[in-house]
Amino acid sequence: MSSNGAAGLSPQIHILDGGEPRLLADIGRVDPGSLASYREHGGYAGLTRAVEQLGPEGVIAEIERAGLRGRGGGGYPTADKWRAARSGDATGKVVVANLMGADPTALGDRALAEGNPHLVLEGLLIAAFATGASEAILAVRRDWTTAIERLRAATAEAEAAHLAGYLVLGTDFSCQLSVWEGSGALVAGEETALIAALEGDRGMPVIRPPYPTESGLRDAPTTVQNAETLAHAAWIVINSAEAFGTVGLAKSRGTRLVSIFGKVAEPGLLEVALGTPLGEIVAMAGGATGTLKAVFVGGAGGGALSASELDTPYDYEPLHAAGAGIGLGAFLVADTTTCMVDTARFFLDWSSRESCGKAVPCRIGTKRLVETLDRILGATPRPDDFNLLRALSRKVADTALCRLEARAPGPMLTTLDRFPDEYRAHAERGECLAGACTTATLPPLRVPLQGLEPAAAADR
Amino acid sequence: MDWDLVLGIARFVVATTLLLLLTIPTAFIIIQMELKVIALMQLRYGPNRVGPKGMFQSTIHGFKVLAKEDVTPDLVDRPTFTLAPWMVFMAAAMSMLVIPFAPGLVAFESSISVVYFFAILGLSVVGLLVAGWASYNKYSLLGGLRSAAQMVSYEIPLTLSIVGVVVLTGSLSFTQIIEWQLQHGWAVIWQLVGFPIFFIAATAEINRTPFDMVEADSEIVAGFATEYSGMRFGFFFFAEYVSLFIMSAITVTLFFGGWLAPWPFPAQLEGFIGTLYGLFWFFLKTYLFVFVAVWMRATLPRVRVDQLMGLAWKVLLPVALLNLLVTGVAVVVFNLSGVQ
Amino acid sequence: MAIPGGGIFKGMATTFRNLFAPKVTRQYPEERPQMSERWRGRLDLIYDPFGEHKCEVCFQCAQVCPVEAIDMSGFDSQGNRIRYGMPEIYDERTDPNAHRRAGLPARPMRNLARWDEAIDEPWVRGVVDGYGGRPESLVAIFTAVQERYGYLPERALRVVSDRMTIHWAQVFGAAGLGGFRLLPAEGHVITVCSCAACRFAGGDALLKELSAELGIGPRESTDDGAFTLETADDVGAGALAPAIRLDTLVYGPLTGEQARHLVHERRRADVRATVRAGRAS
Repeated sequence: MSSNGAAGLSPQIHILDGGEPRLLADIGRVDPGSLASYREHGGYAGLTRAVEQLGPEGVIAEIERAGLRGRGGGGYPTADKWRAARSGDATGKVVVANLMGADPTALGDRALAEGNPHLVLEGLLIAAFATGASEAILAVRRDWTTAIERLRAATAEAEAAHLAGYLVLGTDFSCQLSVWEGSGALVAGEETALIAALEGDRGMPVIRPPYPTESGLRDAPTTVQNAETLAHAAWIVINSAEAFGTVGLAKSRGTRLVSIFGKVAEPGLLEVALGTPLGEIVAMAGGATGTLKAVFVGGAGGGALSASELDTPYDYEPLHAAGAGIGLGAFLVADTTTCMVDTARFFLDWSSRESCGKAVPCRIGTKRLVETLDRILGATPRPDDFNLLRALSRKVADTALCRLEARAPGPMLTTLDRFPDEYRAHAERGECLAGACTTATLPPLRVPLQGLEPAAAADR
Repeated sequence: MDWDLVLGIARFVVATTLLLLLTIPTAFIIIQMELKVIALMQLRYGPNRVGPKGMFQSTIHGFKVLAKEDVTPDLVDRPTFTLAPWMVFMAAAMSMLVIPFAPGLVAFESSISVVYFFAILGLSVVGLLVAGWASYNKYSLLGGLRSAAQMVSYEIPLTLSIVGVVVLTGSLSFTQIIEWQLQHGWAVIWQLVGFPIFFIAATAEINRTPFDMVEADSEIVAGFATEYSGMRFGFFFFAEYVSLFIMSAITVTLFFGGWLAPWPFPAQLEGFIGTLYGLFWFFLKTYLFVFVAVWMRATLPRVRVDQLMGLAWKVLLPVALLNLLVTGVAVVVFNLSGVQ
Repeated sequence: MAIPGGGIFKGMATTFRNLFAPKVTRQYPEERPQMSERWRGRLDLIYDPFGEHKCEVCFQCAQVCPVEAIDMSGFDSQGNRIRYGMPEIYDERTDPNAHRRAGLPARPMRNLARWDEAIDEPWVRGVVDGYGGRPESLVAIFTAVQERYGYLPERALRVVSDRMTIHWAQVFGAAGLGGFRLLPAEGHVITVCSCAACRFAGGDALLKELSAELGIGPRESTDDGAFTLETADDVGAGALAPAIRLDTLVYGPLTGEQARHLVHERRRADVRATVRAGRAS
C-alpha cells in the first residue's frame, strides 16, 4: 500500500504497511493543507489539554511518565531537557524543531512535515509551552520545498485560529512561530551547529557546556528537538502517557520511524516499536533480496551488524553496545554482493566530505582514514595500516567536538571487527570476497599485516 | 698626629678603591670569557665583531646596561627595591678585602680573615631575598626564597669543608694558610675529600650552573631579578661574576696555594718582582677555576629544585662532617698541626 | 663501570673536545653558502615588472600542504577569477592550471565565472531588505539569488555582505555549507544521488553509465556545454533509489538503460528547441 497519493507526499517517501503505525497512521487520512481536517482527527486536543489543564509542569511530568527519549539519535530523556530549559529564568527562550535532514537516508521527519505538518506544529507549541519559550522556530532543510510550503501554510492557519502567536487559546501564553530554511548538511543534526546556522553563521558546532538549554540561540535557553520527538510529544499529550508506553521496552518506550533501504524487497518508511528485533524489521520490508549479510543501522554515524546479530533489539543501548547507533532511523540492508570494505569507505568518505571543517581531527583525521582504506582497497597497504585505522579512529572519536564526528569511524570499526576476512582479502590479495569491487588478483604481500588479529581488536 | 693611623686609613681607602675598580675589568673579562668559551664549546664562533676578535663585546654590554631605562614598577617597596642590588654587590666587593693577591698584597690583613670572608659573603643572600620580596612579583619572590633556601643550605657544607683546612693549618688567616701550604704543599693534597665538597658547595653558593635555581629562566622567568632593569640589574649581574671570581680566588687560596707557584723553584722571589710573580700565579690559578665554572655551565644541565636540597643535606653535610672528624683525628695523631 | 657522577666527566670531556673542534657557524655576509643551481629562494608572493601578482593561483602549494592550511583566490594566467572557498578547500582541486602543473590531465575550464560577472545589484539589495537584513535569513537570500543566477555570484555575495553589514567571511562561510553552487553550471545539470540508499541500490553503476554516456566524470561538463554531471546526497532519493536529478526534476528508480534514455530525450528536446528557434528567426 502507498499513501503517497492521498497525502500528496514527495515521491521519495513511500510508507510501508506493518509495524506499529502511530505518527504515520494519520498520514493519508489527514489533509496536510487543512487545519479542520487535522482537528477532525483529534488534532490540537493535546495543546488545548496542555494549556488548559496540565500547565507547564504537568506537561513535563506527563512526558516524563511516558519516558520519551530524543529521537535524534542521542536518546536523551526529553523531559529532562525541557525541565533544564524551563528552570532558567531567562527571557526570550526558544524552541527549535530540527527538520534539517542531517541523514539523507532518513526520511521520517520529512514525511511528518509533508504528511501531517500540524502534528509537528502541535508538538512544537507544547514544547514551547512547557519550557516557557516565547519563540518557536521550525528549521527546515531548504531542499524540502513541499515541507516548507506546508509548514508555512500550517503556521499561518494555526496563527489565524489563535493556536499560536499572541495569547494562545485565550490564555496568557504567547508564542511566535516561524519557519526558517537552512542549508542541509550532516552537521545540522548537531544542535549547536543548528543554532549557529540559525544565527546566520556557518553551521559549525560549538563546544559544550554551556548546553543550548542554558545558553543557545541569542544566548537564551534553547530547546532543539527533532521533529519526530515533537510529534511523539504531541501524541503523548493527546493520548496520555500510558497509551504511549503500551509498546516498546521498559527504558525506551514508544515507536520509532525507520527508513529501511538497500537490498530489501520493498524499501520505504516504517514505524516500529522500539525493541523490535532487527530481523523483524527486515521482514516487514519484505525481507532481503539476496542473502542478507549485514545491516547498517544509523547511517554514517552508525555501524554494521552481521546476519547472526539480527535478534538484537532496535533500541538505543543494545545498538550502541554493538558499536552502531540508532541515528535518525536510517536502516540499510546489505546482502552478500555488498563489499563491506567499500561500504565502510563510502560512509567514511561521506562523513569526511560533510565535515564542517572546524575540528581538525574530524577534517583531517577522517580524510586520512579514507586514504588508508583506499590503500587497502587498492591492495597496497602498509604493514601497520590496520593499527593505524584503529588508533586514528579512536583519536578522532576521543577528540571529537560533536557527536557526529565521534561516531564517524563507526561503520569502519564495526565492519573491521565483524568482517576481517574481507579486509584481509582486499589488503593481501586484492580480492573482493563479495565480488562487488573490480580488482585484479595480486601476488601475496611480503610484509605481514598487523592489527587484523582478534587480540588487537580486543584491546581497542 | 698618629701617622700610623693616618697611613693605615689612607692605605685602606686606596686599597678599597682599587678593589672596587678591579671588579669592573674582572666582571667584563669573565663575561667575555663566558660568551666566548661557551660559544666555542657549542661549535660556534661567539662574539667576533666588536673590537679585535670581539674582545669588547662584554664591555659594550656593560655600556648598554648603563644606557637602558631604569624602571621601577609601581607597587614595589621602593627603599628596599633600590637597596637590594647595592647590598648584593657590596657583599661581593667587601669580601674581596681579605683576599691575598700576592705576598703582602692584601687590602685588610686580619688574623680571622676566613671568618670575615664567609660572614660578609653570606650577606648577599639577604640582598637577594630583599630583591625578591621588594619586587612585588611572584617569580621574584620564588627566586628570592629559592636563593635563601639554597644559599643557607649550602653554606653549612661549605663552611664545614673549610674547617678541615683550618684545623690542618691551625689558622683563620688566609695569609697564614698560604704560608702553611708553602711548607707542607697545597692543602688539596691533604683535603682530597674536603676540596670536592667545597667546590660543589661554592658553585651552589654563587648560584652557578648546575645550581642556578635562583634564576632558572625556564621556570621562574629571571627569579629575583625579574623586575629589575638598567643598571640595577647590571649590579646583580656584576655581583654574580665578581662572586665567581672571588670563589675561584678563595678556592685557590685555601686549596691550591694561593699566590704560590706550583713548584718551589725559584723558591720565593723578594720585593716587587716577588709580588708580580705571586700575582701572576694567583690570577692564573683563579682564572683556571673561572674557566672550570664556565666549562661546567657549557656542559651540565640544571638540577631539579628538589634534588638540590637533598644533595646538600643528605650527601654533602654528612661527608663534610666525616671529613672534619678524620682530619681532626689525623692532626692529633700525627701531630700535623700548624700551631707551633 | 658505573661510577656515580661519571657522566658528568664524560660530558665535560665532550665539551672540552668541542672547544678545539672546527666551528660550524657560517659567517654569513662574508661566507656565502653554495646553493643548488635550481634554488629559487624563499617562496614569496612577488610582482612582475608590470605590477601584476606573479602568483597564478595554481594551488600547487595548497595541494602539497599536509594540513591544508593554504588557500587562495586571485587571477590565473588566463585572467579567470579563481575563488577560494569550499570547492577548493575541502574537495579535489578542479582548476585546470592546478592539474596541469601537478602533472595531471587537465581539461579546459570554460564554465568558470568571470570575475566581472554582471549582477543586478539593486535587486540583490531588494532581496536582502525583503528579509529585513537579518543574518538568520542568509540561507533564504542565497536560495533566492541562486534561483535567479543559477549559482551564487561572488559579487552578489559581496552586495549581501555590504547590505547586511556583516563580515564577508561569514557570508561566504554560510554559503559554503549546504549545497549552494558557487560556480555557474553549464547546460543541464544531472545530479546522481550519492546517498547511502542509492548506493546500496546501485547508484554507483548508474553514475558509471552516465559517465560513459556523456564522456565525462563527476564535476565535469561536456565539451559542447550541454550537460554537467554531478553527485550530491541531497536528492533525497529514498524510495526512488537509485535516483538522478535532471535540473530540478527527480527521476527514479532507474536502471542504467533508463538513465541513458533520459539523457537522449533531453538532447533531442534541446535540438528541437534550437531548430524551432532558428525557424522562428
